[in-house]
Amino acid sequence: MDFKYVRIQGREVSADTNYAAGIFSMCWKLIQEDVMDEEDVELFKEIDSWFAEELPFPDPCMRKEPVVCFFKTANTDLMMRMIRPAMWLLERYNHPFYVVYTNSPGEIVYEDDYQVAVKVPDVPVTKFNHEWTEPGTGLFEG
Amino acid sequence: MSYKLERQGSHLTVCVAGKLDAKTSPVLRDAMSSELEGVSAVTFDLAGLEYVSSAGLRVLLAAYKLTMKRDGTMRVVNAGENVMSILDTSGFADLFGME
Repeated sequence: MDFKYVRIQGREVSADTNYAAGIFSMCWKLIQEDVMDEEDVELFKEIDSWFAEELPFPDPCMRKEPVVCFFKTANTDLMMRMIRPAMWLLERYNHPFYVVYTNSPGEIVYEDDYQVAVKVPDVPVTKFNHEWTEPGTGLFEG
Repeated sequence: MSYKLERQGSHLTVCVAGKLDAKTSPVLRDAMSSELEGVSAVTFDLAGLEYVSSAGLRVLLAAYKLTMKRDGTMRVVNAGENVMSILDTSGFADLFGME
């Protein structure tokens, strides 16, 4: 099955959106909390600056509206390859994340060639966190 | 860490050996900076490289970004087993494309 959208997100909820924090928020939080060492910080900033330069900054994000962004899988091969090192950084610091593929991200309020921004659902994701399957608990794992 | 830079027109070949880490990466970065004017193709020959840390990966990534901006190419060749493993695990092997 092919999916149109993908988002890399964590268990924690973003204070701004009340929705699962995205990969950039998670990395920046590790930096702000002095968890990431200096070399990794600089590497992440190198990755982050590429996205800042290459990816349009969605208007709703600029207006600080409660939206979350999903990459379009069709046009983002390079972006997904560029984001992998950031996923590796999260793994280095044992920071859990999920790669969420979907065809129904929610109500799209912004769209460009590479991404969509959707309104966050009314129900805070925190109420559903406990239902997420823990890694390693599958039928043939552990 | 030791390095050798060879410029042929718009192509820069960077041979790196030893350890590319937080201490040595700035040396390579500074050396490359003065050679990058007009360069649109970069080849990193990592045959002699024993170890690369995040700081070294950043140098490779910065070169990759630069060549992309110039519609150029970057190649990473001859990585040994240890360095290849780091590039694989970190996702950079996929990004750069290894030869």
